[in-house]
Amino acid sequence: MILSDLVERFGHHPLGIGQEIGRMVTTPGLDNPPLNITEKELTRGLRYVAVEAPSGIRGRMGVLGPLVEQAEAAIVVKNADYAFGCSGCARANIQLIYMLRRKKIPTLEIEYPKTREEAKVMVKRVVDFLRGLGGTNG
Amino acid sequence: MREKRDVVRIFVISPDSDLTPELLYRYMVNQKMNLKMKETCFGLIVVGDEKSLAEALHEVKKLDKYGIFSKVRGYPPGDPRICRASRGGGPRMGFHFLEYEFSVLPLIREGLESVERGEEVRERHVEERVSVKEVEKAFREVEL
Repeated sequence: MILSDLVERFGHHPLGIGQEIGRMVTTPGLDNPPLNITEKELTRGLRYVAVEAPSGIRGRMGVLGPLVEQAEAAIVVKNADYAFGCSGCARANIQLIYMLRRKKIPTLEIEYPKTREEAKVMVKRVVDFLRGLGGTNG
Repeated sequence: MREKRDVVRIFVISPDSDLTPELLYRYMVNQKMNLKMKETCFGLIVVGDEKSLAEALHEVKKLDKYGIFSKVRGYPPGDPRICRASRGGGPRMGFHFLEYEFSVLPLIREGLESVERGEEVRERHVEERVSVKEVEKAFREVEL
């Protein structure tokens, strides 16, 4: 949420998982899923990870992979709390960072702040990065 | 398929803000916008078309520029697939992370205010890890 808000605040469009999930769970169809993943996403996930990868990662990559393809720049926040998610989330996260590095788009790597000073540095780095990319407020 | 899809957004109020979810809700109701809202413990869940949501976001930021954060949420409020009432209790998916980020919001406010003031911030130099060989060397040096 913090990153998505900061990106929007400084005139860029964040590619968040929320909008993808929203599209999936509110679009009526035969495969209207009980949750948010259908066979289509699992198959699409194979474009990004091997077939041996656990289905949790494949499903996540089926949703997140196309977002990486659309991305023109990326901000990676490291050192997330344990509440970030399960092991599937963590592994999919590693795969995403790998994809971002291979894509060679402008990427900023920061950490979650723990003190006021760290927060000032974090926000300053994000703002400078976003302004460097251009945009409506940049 | 519907041509225009409603978007769901969450507005989260920073814990150090003077606003409460109830105050924010009343303010939004007074703005007479075409939105559906649900008051929650951290702020509001708002449903509407993209244009109305952008207007709403603009309006709420007048109340507390750096105290209200927002993002797009996937499921609409009260969706039986994730609603606690139909899932037999427990936190909904993503709640723990939202709770964590909620606790970091006052720090982010500090950061945004410092950017607005144009404050010079200096990144603290992080000392590199000492290699095992260097530790071994240090031990040999003090060996009696």
